[in-house]
Amino acid sequence: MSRRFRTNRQPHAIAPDRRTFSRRSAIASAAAGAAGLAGISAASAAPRISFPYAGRQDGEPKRGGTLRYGLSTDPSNFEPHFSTGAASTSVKLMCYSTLLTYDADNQLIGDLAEEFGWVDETTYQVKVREGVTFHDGSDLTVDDVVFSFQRIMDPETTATNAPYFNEVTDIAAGDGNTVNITFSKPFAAFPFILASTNSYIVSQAWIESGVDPKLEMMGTGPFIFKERVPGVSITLERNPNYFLPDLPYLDSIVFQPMPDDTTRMTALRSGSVDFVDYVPYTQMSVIENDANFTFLSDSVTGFGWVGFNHELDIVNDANVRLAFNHGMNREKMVQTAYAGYGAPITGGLIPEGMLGHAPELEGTFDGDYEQAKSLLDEAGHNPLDIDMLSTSTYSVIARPAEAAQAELTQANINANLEMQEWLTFRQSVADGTFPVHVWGTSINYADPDFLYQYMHSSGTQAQWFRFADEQLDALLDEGRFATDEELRAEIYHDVQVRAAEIVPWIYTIRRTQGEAMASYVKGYVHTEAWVPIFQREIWLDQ
Amino acid sequence: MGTFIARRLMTLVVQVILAGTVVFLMLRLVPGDPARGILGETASEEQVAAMRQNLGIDRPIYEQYGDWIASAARLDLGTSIISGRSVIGDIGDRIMNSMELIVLSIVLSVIIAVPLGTIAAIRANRATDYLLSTLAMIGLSVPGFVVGTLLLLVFALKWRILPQSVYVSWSDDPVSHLKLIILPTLTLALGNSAVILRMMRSSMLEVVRQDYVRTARAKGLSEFRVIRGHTLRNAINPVVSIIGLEASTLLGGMVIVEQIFNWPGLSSLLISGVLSRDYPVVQGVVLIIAVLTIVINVLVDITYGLLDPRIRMQ
Amino acid sequence: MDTATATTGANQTAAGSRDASSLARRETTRFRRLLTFAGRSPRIWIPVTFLILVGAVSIGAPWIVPYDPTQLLDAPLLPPSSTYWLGTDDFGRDMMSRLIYAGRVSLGVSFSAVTLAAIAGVLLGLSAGYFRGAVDFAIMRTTDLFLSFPTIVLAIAMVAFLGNSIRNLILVIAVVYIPRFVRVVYGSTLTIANAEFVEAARVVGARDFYIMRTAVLPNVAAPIFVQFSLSLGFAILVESGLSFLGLGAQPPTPSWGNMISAARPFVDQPQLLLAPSAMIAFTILALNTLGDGLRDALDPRLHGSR
Repeated sequence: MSRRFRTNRQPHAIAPDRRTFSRRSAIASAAAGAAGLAGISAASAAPRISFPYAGRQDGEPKRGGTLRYGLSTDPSNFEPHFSTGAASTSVKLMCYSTLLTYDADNQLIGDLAEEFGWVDETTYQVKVREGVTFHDGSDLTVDDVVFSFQRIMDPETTATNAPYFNEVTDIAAGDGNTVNITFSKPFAAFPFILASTNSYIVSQAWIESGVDPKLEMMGTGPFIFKERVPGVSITLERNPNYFLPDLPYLDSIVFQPMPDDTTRMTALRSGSVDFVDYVPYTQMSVIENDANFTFLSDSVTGFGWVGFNHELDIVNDANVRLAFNHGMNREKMVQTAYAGYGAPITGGLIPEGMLGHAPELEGTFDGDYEQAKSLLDEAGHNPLDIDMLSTSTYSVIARPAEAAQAELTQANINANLEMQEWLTFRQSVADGTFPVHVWGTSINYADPDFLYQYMHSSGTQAQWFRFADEQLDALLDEGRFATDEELRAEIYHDVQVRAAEIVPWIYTIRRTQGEAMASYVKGYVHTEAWVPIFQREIWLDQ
Repeated sequence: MGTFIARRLMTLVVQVILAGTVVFLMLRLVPGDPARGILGETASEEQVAAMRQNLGIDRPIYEQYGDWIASAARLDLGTSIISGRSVIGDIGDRIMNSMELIVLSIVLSVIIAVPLGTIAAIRANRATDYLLSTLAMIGLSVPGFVVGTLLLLVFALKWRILPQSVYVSWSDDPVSHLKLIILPTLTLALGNSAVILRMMRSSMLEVVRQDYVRTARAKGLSEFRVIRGHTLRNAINPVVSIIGLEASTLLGGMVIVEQIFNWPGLSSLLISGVLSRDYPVVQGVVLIIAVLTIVINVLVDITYGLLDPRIRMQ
Repeated sequence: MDTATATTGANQTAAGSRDASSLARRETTRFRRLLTFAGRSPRIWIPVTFLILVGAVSIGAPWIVPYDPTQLLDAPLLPPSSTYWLGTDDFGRDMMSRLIYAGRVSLGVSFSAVTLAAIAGVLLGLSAGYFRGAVDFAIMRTTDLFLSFPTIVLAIAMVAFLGNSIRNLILVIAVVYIPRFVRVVYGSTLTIANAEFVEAARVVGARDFYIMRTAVLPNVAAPIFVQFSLSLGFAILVESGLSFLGLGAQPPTPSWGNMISAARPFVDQPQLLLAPSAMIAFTILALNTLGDGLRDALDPRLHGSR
C-alpha cells in the first residue's frame, strides 16, 4: 500500500529533463549516476507511470468539468511565501509553481526547473524552463526567480522558508536561463526547500505593482485565480497556457471551505462535493469501505511528539525523559488515539526509505513500564506527578495526548493533562511554561535534515525545548553540510542513536492522513511529501 | 418621541464605546499571538517578533487603542491582520447572510406562533391549550443542534432531497439557494416559534382579564371581533419585544447552526476571528453586533409606540 | 418572571412593618404551602421525579454502568443487542455506559456552574440592590455589558482563552449565567430594601449583613428558585452546545453534546444520535416544565392566595 521515501543522492549533476521519459524504469537506467533519483517502488500494487501524467494510470483522461473541492480550512490568505496550512497549499499550489516538485514516488523532479543540481559543493544551479508565461500573459524570466528568492530572504517579508536561506551568499542569473544560488557552506537538503510549497516563484512586476498578494494570486500554475467569496468559495479556472501540455484536464476547481469535519464528509457522501482533503480518522473506515469513494492516504509523514522544557527541574534529568519514552506502548496509543489509523514509532523518527533510517532501533521504546519505573526510581521520582500541556483545537494532537496520558499512568507517571486552545498552546510552548507538552506535526521535507529544527540548539523547536547537546549539534551541522550520501546516512543514523540515549524529545506515533474523493474522480495521486501537486492531473470520469 | 430617541441614541453611543473598549482590552489580555498564527508552526521567535512589528501590535496598548478609536469614529474598522481584507467589507457580506436566515426564520415563527398562541390563550386550560403548550415546551427544550443534525441526517443524507453544506448565493442560483436555506430556517424557526407562542399566550391571557375586554364581551361582540379589535393589538407588544430580543441574540448566537449548515454568517466570522486573534475583525464584529442590538431595541420601542398610543403619549 | 417577582415584593410590602424573624416564619409556611401545591401539580412532580431518577443514575454511574465507557470492546458500530443495549459506537465502546456517564458529565457541569452562578449572582444582586449608589452602578452596568454579548459567543470566547478542562467549562458557564441571577435578585431586592420592615430594622440598628440575610434574602428566594431551574436547562444547552462544537468535554470523556457530534456521520445507526439527543431534550424539558410549574405555584394570582 504505502509507497516510501527514497533517498535523494547529492550532489546531482544537472539532471536531464525528466519529462521526456515516461516510465520510471527508463529513468532509472538513463539517470543512474546522474540524478540517481530512482529507487524501487516498494509494495506498490500497480506499476506507476512517472511524472508527469501519473494520473494516466487511471486510463485515458477526459477533458472538462468542474471539481467541487471540500476544503478543511478557509485559507487565511494567499501570501505565497507564508505557510498558511495544508488546506491553503492545496489552493496556492494550483496557481503558483515551484522550481522543483515531487513525482508519484516522492522523488524530486523539475517543475519550473528544466534542469537542476549542484555544480559544485556550494553552488546550486537551476535551468529555468523557457516559454513559461504568468497568468497575466507576461513571460517568466530568471529575474522573477531571483526576485522571488530575494523576497523570501528579505526579513521584512518574514517568509516561512527564510531560515533555510541563511547560508546563501548570492543568488544571480547565469547564462542560458539559469539561476545560480551560492552558499557559504554546502547545504545538501536545499533542493527540498526549492520544492517546498512556501517557495513559489512570483512575478516581480506583479508584486511590485502594489497588489496585495494576500488577496489575489497570479502565478504560472495550472489554474488561474478567478474569485474568492470569503467563507464561501475560491474559484480557479483552467490555465490554457500551462507549461505542461494537455494539463490541466479540468475546466475549473471550486474550493469550498468546510471546517467542520462531519459537514465536509457529509458533503462528500451526499454528492455535494467531489473531493475532500483531510479525512478525519473517525470516518476513515466508513469511507474506505464504501465502493463509491476512493480514500488515498499514508501513515508516514504525520507524527506526534512529547516535548520537554529542559530548563525545568525533574525533566532535565535524562532518566526521567527516558522513563517517559519507555512508558508508552505505541501500538496501544495508535489504537486509542486513532482507532488504528496510524503507525507506532518505537525507534528513530526517520521513516523507512529516507536517508538515515535506523531499523535496528525499532522496538527500543515499546511500553516497558517496569523499565520506566526503575528509571524513575533512579531519578528519585517514583511515582511522578507532572503537568502536561496539549491543545484541544486539533483532535489529531489531542487524541494522542490523551492516549499518552493513559499509557504513562501505567509507568507511575501521573500526567495532569491541560488542554489549551491552539494559539494559547503555542504561546505556552514557546514560553516554556509547562515541563511536558504533547504536539503533533509532519515531517516538512523528505530529507533527514528536517531533524535540525528539533534537535540542533539553534532550531526553532529545540529552542522551545530549551535543549542543546554538543554532540547532536556537531552531527546535525555535519549532516547539513555533508554532500556524500553514505556519510549522511551514517550521520543521521547516529543522530537517532544519540537521541535514543539522551531523549531531547520523544516521537510517539505516526498518523494516517489522506484525501477522499468520489470514484469518478481520477488521476489524483496522494504523495507522502504532502505536496498536492497531483491535483493538477485530476479528471472526471463522467 | 424625539427626546426619547435622542436619549436612546446617547445610551447607544456610550454602550458601544464601552463594549468596544472591553473587547479591545480583553483581546489583548488573552494569551496567544496573532503573529504566531499568521506565520505557521515553524516560525522562529525572531520572525514572530518581526511580524508583530509589521502588524503594529508591539506598540503600547494605549497607542493602539487610540488609533483604533480614532479610526472607528470615522467608521473605519481597519483591515483584518489575517486575511488582509477590509473588516467592514467582510462584515457586510456576512451580515446579509445572517440577516437572511434571521428574518426568514422569524417571519416563519410569527406566522406559526401568533395564531397558535392566540388559540392557546382563547382555549386556556382546555385540551387544545395543553397540546399547544406542550408542543411549545418541547420546541423550547430541544436544542437547535439536535434539530439541525436530525434534519440534515434525514433530508440530506438519508433521503437526499435537500442538498447540504455547499453555499450557493441567491444571485448565482436562486433555486439551489432556496433549497439550501430551508433546513437552517426550520431549525431556527422551531425554537423561535416556541418562545413566541408562549409569550403570545401569556400576554393574551393578561389582556383578556382586563376590564375593557369584559366590557366588549358584555356588549355582545363576537369572540372573533373581541380578539381582533380589542385584545390582539394590546397583546402583541411583549411579543414584538421578544422578537427583537430573539433577532439580536441570533445575530451573534447562531454559531452552531452556521457550523452545521456551513452557513457563512456573522457568528462564524466572529468565532474564526477569536480563534486566530484577528483583533480588528473581532473588535469590528462585536461593535457591529452591539450597535445592531441596540438599533433593534430602539426599533422595538418605536413599534410599541406605533401599536400603542398610550406609550407614544409618555 | 418579572411579574412574579414584583408581585412577591408587593405582597411583602402589603404585609406591613414586621420584624425580620416573624417574616422568616411566614416564609416557612409559604414554603410548606408550595410543597403541598407541588404534590398536587403534575407539572412539578413529574419533572421532579424524572430529574431525581436521572440524577441518581448519573451519581451512581460508576456502579451502574455495564462497561467502562472509554474501554474499546469487540467491534465498532454494533447494533443494539442484549449485551450492548444501545450498541457500540464508532470506537467500539458501549453506548449505554457512555450515555450514563455522559449524564454525569453534562448534569455535573451544569449543576455546579449554575450553583456557582447563583451564589455569585445573589451576592452581587443583593449588594447592588441594597447598597445602591456606586456599588449598584458598577455591578449593574457590568451586568448589562455581559448581557449584551450573545451567550454562546461569550462562552466560546472564554473557553478558547481559558482552555477547555471540565473545571474551566464550569467556570465559563457560571460566568455566563451570573448576570441573569444578578438581574433577578436585584429587581426583588430593590422592592424589599425599601419596604417598611427593612427600614424598621435599620432604625433599630441591625447590621446590614444581618438585614440582608434575614429580611431580604428569604423574600427573593422564590424567584431565585425559578431562575435556578430555568438556568439549569439553559446551562445543559450551553454545555452540550460547546461539547458539540468540540469546545466542551473532550473525548474520550463522554458528554451528551460530544456524543451527538460524534454520531453525526453514522446514518445507519440512528440510536447513536437519538439516545443522547433524547436525553438532552427530556432533561431540559423537565427543567423547563419544572421552572414553569414553580413560577405558577409561586404566582399568588394563579392559585387564589391573594
